[in-house]
Amino acid sequence: MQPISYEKYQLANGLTVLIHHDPLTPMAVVNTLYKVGARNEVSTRTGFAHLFEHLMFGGSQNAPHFDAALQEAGGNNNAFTNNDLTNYYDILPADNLETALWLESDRMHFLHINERSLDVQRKVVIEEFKENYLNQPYGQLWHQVRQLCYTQHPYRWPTIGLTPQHVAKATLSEVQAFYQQYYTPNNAILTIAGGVAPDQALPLVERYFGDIPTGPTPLPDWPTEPAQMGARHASFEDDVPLNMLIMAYPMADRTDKGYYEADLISDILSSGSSSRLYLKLVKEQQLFNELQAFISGNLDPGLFVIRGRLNEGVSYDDAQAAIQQELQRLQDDLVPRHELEKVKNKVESGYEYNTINLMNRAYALSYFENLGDANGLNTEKEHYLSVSAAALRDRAIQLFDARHLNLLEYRAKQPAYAG
Amino acid sequence: MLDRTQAPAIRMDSPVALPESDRFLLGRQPVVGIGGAAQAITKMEWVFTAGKWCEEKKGAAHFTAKMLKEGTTQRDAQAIAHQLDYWGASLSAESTADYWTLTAYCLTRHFPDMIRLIRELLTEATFPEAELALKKHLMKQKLRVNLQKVGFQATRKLMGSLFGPDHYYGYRLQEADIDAITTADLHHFYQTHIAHQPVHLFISGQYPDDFPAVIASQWPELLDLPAPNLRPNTPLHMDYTPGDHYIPVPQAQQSALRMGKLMPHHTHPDYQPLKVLNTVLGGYFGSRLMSNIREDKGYTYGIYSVLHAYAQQAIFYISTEVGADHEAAARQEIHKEIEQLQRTPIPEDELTLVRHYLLGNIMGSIDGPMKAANTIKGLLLQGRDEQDFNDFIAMLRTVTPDQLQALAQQYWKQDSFIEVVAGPNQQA
Repeated sequence: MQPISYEKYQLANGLTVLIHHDPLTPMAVVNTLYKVGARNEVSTRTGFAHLFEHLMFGGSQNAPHFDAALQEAGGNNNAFTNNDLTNYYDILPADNLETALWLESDRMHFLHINERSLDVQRKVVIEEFKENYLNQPYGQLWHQVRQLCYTQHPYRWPTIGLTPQHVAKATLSEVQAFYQQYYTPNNAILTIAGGVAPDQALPLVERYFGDIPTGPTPLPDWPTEPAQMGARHASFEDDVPLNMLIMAYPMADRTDKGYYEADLISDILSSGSSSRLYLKLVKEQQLFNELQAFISGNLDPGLFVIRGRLNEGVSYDDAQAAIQQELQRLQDDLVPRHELEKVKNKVESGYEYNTINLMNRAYALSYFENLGDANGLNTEKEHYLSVSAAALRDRAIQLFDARHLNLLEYRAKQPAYAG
Repeated sequence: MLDRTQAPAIRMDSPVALPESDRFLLGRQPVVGIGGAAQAITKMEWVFTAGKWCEEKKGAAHFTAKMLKEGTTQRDAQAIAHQLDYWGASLSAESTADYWTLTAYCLTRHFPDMIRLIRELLTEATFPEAELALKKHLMKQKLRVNLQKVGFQATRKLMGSLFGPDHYYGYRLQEADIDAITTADLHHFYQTHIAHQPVHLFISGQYPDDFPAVIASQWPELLDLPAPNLRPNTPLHMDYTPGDHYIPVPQAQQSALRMGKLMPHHTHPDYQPLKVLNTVLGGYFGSRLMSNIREDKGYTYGIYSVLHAYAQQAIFYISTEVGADHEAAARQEIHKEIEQLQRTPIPEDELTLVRHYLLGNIMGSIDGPMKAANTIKGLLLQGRDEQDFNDFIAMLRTVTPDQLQALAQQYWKQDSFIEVVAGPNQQA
């Protein structure tokens, strides 16, 4: 794989700037990552970081119509919020890069926060809550899982928030305070990727972002999650067609080597149709309608999750026992060489696929810079490729400790399909 | 000193042109290739002129695609899955109403191996009973989950009402259709439309310079096939009954609204400017529907409109999910926005914005070999070529507000729509 090249700068106000030049494309991406997510929220205003993301499109002092101004320059944009960060991206013809820099810098410091915009976006977010979490089969899943697995850490709520009421109660002064605390140049990473050379782009960045004052340095002030001391069990009933089983185990944080090992274990269990869970439990024993193992991918210690929909007539006990048996196998036997090679090959080709798209490259550079070093995009796969079968076995023993299990039965109200 | 009140100047005059592609015949099979990517990945699309349109039984095209990797005369499903996963490759087949496509991505160094496997899948698939039983079971479960979604129910009703519930553009599989499918149906579809049948190949990303020779050596029979035909890009003359449909979903918190109608065929001269008109109404984030119903009223998380061309028929529809208590108000606002486009020409600055937005979109759609190949595929399957691409850009730069107003009046008459609501409200 050819490494993704980039230049890194830091402005006097603390803004980190990454520039990735791709002379083959006529497009440019401006990606702005703010180091604020749902983990920064207080427990009475959950969903706030995501609501704020919506307000970032409400216009700024000098650019009252963010979307329209970008669209007029041939661009489009979007954003997302997760538990750890909020990310905004614009893609437009490289000729018009300056428009995106003007817009992003203006909303970094001159956002027009007003009652009307807050009022509308509260409603929009509540509709989003209904559409994706209340009006959706299994939409309550993550609310339930997170509340079971976390007792202290703010990962106990999803980014949409614990309840629509929290969003409904957000006030203008809270919005203002959040903006001043987190939306500062020193809390952001700006990446420019595409058909613009660093010596063209950097003066423009200086011009538009250089005079934004440094803000306070936000410190991590949320509680860490205490080690889990015993298995937890919960059950939830909902109007869904099939019973679902979720088994979640606490795992390492994003920079620990345990993260890569857990990720490979999840691939061995469920990546592709030659994976263990699919072959054994979906295809051969037909206990599950679908079954996946994955990691939550958070910055702070996250979750190793196994989630499956039980076929009709299958009991929770049988389903759980079958999964346990596969987890036990990982603790008893070394993963055969060929199988380990398979998941490592997939990691390697995954990096190639992920860097085809310009926007992915821009986000990935920002993401790795947020982890500590943008070059992680080019070097991280070494962490995966160096994992041994013995390390995977040891990790499985540590990970799947029975005292660390969080088991949720997401039950169908009517077990039989009624039409 | 920076004057932030001044927006930077905008430039949209750079020429936009399709990149050069390699076009040639492999035997009589047309190949389009666009290489030169930085990543060592090859993408292939093998496109057969088969789909729902030529099924003898509903679901045959779909299940033939979904079952393709479940076994060949040489390997079982597990061996195929293991091989693909070991290469870090991906391969899937999909059927639409008009075409049946195998799409594969692999590291370029695995290209010859991948061709061998594709040949095997496209000529020697076995469709085992047990695997079909499992796929049918999984699909029925998925259908049950989907049936709980108001949006799924509303879309199914709209398409069924526009085309008729049994038409290949109108039907969605029901449980009974899934139950009725047999391995014999799949063998029949496969032998008639896929195995040793003519095909279009689109290849992009990075690929070996001698790839035609590689294909010819791995798959010599391919060179003996006759040339493929496209689906006839000519209109069906269809009719539908406008009117309202209501699907009660008592426990739902939101109502799904779908409003649609048949449109002139994609070869009709009005079709291309209608794309611009559709964008203004609901085709992008800054559209009139989104600005009004989401950004001004907060009734919905999203609302959009779509103009879509099948080979033989085009459709237009509006789609949204709104809070159940906003259902009536949202419908009223949708109609108001359509009327507004009929009554008043689009202001020049709004139209400029839409022209630029669409130009930027087109530039994005040909940025990089894989996206460019996809755009060329879309053109070729509609019987179009580079000239049509250039004509669209010329039209986009010159279409007038008056033309678009006339199109809104002609094609979006309020009584010409089918309107479907799936939601909790009681209606007479």
